[in-house]
Amino acid sequence: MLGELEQVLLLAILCVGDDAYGVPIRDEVLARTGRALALGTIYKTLGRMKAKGLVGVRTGAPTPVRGGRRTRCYNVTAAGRRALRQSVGAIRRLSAGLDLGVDLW
Amino acid sequence: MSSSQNPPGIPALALRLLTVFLRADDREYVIGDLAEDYAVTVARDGESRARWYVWRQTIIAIWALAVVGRTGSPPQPASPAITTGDSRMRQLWTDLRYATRLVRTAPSFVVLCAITLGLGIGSVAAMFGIVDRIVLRGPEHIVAPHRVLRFYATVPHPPNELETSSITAYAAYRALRDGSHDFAGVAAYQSSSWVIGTGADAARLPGVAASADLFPTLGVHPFLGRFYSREEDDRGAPRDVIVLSYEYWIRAFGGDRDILGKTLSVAFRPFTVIGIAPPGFTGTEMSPVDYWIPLSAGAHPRPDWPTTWRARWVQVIGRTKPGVTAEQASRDATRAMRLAYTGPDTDRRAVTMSLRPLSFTSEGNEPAVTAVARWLTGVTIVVLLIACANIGNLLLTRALQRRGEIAVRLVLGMTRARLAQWLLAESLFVGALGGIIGVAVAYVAGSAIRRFFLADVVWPTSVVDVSTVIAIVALTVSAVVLVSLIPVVQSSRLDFAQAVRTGVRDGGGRRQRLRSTLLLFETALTGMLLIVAGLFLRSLMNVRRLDLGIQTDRVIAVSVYWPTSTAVDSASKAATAREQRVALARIRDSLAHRSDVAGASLVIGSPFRSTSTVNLKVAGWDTLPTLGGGGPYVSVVGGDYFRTVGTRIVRGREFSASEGESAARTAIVNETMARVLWPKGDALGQCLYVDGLTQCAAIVGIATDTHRFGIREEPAMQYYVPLGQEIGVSGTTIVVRPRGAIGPAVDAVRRTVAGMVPGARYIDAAPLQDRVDPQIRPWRLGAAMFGVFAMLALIVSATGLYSVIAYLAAQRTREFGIRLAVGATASSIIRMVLAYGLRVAFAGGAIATVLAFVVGSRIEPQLFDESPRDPAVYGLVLLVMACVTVAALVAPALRASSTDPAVALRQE
Repeated sequence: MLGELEQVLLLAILCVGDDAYGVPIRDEVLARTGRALALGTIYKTLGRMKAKGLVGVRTGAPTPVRGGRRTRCYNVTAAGRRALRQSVGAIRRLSAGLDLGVDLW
Repeated sequence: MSSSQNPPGIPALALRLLTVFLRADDREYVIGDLAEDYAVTVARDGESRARWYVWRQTIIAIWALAVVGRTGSPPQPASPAITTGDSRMRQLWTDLRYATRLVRTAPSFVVLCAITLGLGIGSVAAMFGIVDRIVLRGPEHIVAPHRVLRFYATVPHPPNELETSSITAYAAYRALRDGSHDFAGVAAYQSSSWVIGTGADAARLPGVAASADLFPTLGVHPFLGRFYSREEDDRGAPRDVIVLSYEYWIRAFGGDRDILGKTLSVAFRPFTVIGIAPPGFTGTEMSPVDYWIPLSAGAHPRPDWPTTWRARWVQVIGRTKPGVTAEQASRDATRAMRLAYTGPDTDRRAVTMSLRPLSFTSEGNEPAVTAVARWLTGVTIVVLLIACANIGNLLLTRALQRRGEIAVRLVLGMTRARLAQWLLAESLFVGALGGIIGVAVAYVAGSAIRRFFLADVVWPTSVVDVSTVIAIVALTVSAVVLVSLIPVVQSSRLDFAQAVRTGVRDGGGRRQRLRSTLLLFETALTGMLLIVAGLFLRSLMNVRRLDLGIQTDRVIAVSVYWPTSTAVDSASKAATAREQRVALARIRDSLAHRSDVAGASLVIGSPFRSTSTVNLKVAGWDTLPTLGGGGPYVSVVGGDYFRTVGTRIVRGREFSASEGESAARTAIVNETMARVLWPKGDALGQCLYVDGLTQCAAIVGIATDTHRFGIREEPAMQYYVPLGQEIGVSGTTIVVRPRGAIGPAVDAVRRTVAGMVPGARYIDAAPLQDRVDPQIRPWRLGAAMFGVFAMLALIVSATGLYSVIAYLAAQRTREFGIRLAVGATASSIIRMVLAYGLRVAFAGGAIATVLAFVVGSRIEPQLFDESPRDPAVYGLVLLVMACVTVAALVAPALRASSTDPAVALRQE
């Protein structure tokens, strides 16, 4: 089962879509969950997930605001989707019928 | 990286750190993201918040990617896995990474170790930097400095006295230069100070009059322009040219290159600037020098200075030829000197020349500050040893705590080498932290020492220079390896079965002995340091209390520099001199009548600057006896002189204001002179025949002895004659005793005097204390530094004591619990813990006393009128140590006594 942060990041990558690199991922998490993740935390976790084959990496285009430096964009691999499905499914099943005061999915 | 420009906003240092710590492929996108993020944050929160934000992100990113996340492996336990397949380097890296977790898992251990080590290393590094400068390296810009030495002449005076001095006649320089074979260069110089500039800008600045061969002999090259040639230093027709020091050039002329060829007033004569010396060049000595002028253009003691042997005023240095030893060169110099000497002093025909380092004093001794610095280096090493012992103790304690864990690991197949490496990694990490703190301590301590104690030494390098950093690194590594050896050896000797069974609890007898030994070692060294510090402190107090015979801290000396006389004939010269005398008398009177002045007088031969001797005959003595301090010295003083400078008249009276004009000649002698010449105590009323006069100067008073130049000098005969009864000495100084604080009074007096003699070129006003302070500095340096380091050692060893006792008490919780359960009282437990600590303290104190006795006899020459066995110091230090020990023991002892037996027994 995935860690909580791993789930959050995988979902955030899926939300951002094609250009999912550090800054947009961070913004997405912040906007949707109110959690301010440090970029370093995101890199570390994504690095770990890459090693596990949950995410893939591609090099994006440089922009002037980045001082001409390229981005590293992440996408969720098939294994990543499978793991996410299992994890989220488990949460759903466990929370089914419980009144937690929120609507779960 | 190189193709992309620096992104805006990210601080340069952050960029550097990211570049250093991150792998190239991580680096690009991380920096890019940070830059992008910065742009957004600036727009939203403003620049300062954004910068702060970027720093935070940078540190987290480095931590996440370089420190913990490099392998990209899942979270790991707090100590390394028992793998054996990895390469050594990889293992070490992993171990180091684990070691960083100590900050979280054992913060107090890490903090104690790092601070202790940092203080130890920092103090050694600071002293290393200072010793490197003032003892090892010597003055800057000297090529092959070991071959450049100063000449010292040792003259035997019958019956068995030897006089050694580097101050010699110009004729001696010529004899050494022209008559020796073993030298590649010989140069003469005189360090002095002349008034530079005129009018309001005039200031007395330190300078050197040197023969032209000084520069080639030292091997220095000009920064700008040129040095003067031998022709310009010609004795017949000296050229008034001047070479400025780089620092003075920057300070006074803002580094203006057009200064070359312009003129500068030196001692009120125009000198042409021809060159600038390289930065940091101070000639043969380490005190600041602002300029160099040809020796023949400087001030000379008498007109026949080039040839006479009678005036000794220059110092001579030489560069030996390659391959010539100092002994060979000394023999060569001795031969040349004896051959050339044509002076009147028969003793000097048997002169022996020697060559000594440039740093030595004019009497040929190692300077006090060098000796102090060397001792202090020893002290800092002792402090480092204490710190090491302390860390050894802490590491040992920690190793014991983890005995069970280590045993389990060894049982599960971890090799001992692997274990050693793991423990070493932890020590290296703590050592690295200690090193960082050490650099900071070295920086702070080093700059403080430079500022407060060695202000008269030129420091061309920064406080922590490369060699110091290298020394710090070397020290850190060796100190850490040293201390980490102890637990490694200890844990390798582990008995598995027992260790696994007993776990944390049992320290074992041997370990406790080792800890006690380390503790004893710390305590003994600390005690020794404290005793030595106490001796130095007492010695400083003695210097302070020293009665110089003159209250130097209450008196301002004022000299007036008159315009150059345009008079040609002797009559008008005498008239000018008379005018100046009248002017000085008027200044004295007006100063004496000011409400903020307690007294003012005039003196020829001002204290701590100049003394004179003139021909003196005393009835009943064919030749006057010579005392250790030389003399008899004469001073010419005005009325009210003794009251103004604070010299007591023990018998008879002081000169009256009108004494000088009266026909009857009078004199005052010092106590030594009265005692030596008239042992029966009937000096008053006796006759002195001063300066070849046949008229009797009757002794009207006896004054206490006063010091002439130094704070340490032999007694000498000294006498005073009243101003107005002129004898063959000159150079009048006004002495003023202000009523209030002396600092603000100096300026007020200078302004008053300047207002009264508008034509004067320069008014020199300064407290007499300024002339004494440089001599007090080595003692102050020693006392202050020993004191600081001893306090440091005390703190370090007190923490050591505390941590060890606290740990021991915790370890024996079970034992205390049982004792309490079977009827021991809380106070008996407290007694047990205190007894252990005090035993260590007393044993340490005893060893410290012995050590201090041994060291004390060695430092005796550095102490001022202080016995190295002063019982007051020893007693006080032992008392302080006992107090500190008890203070360090109280908390652990209380904790031990409040053990709950039930809890203690259930602990296993």
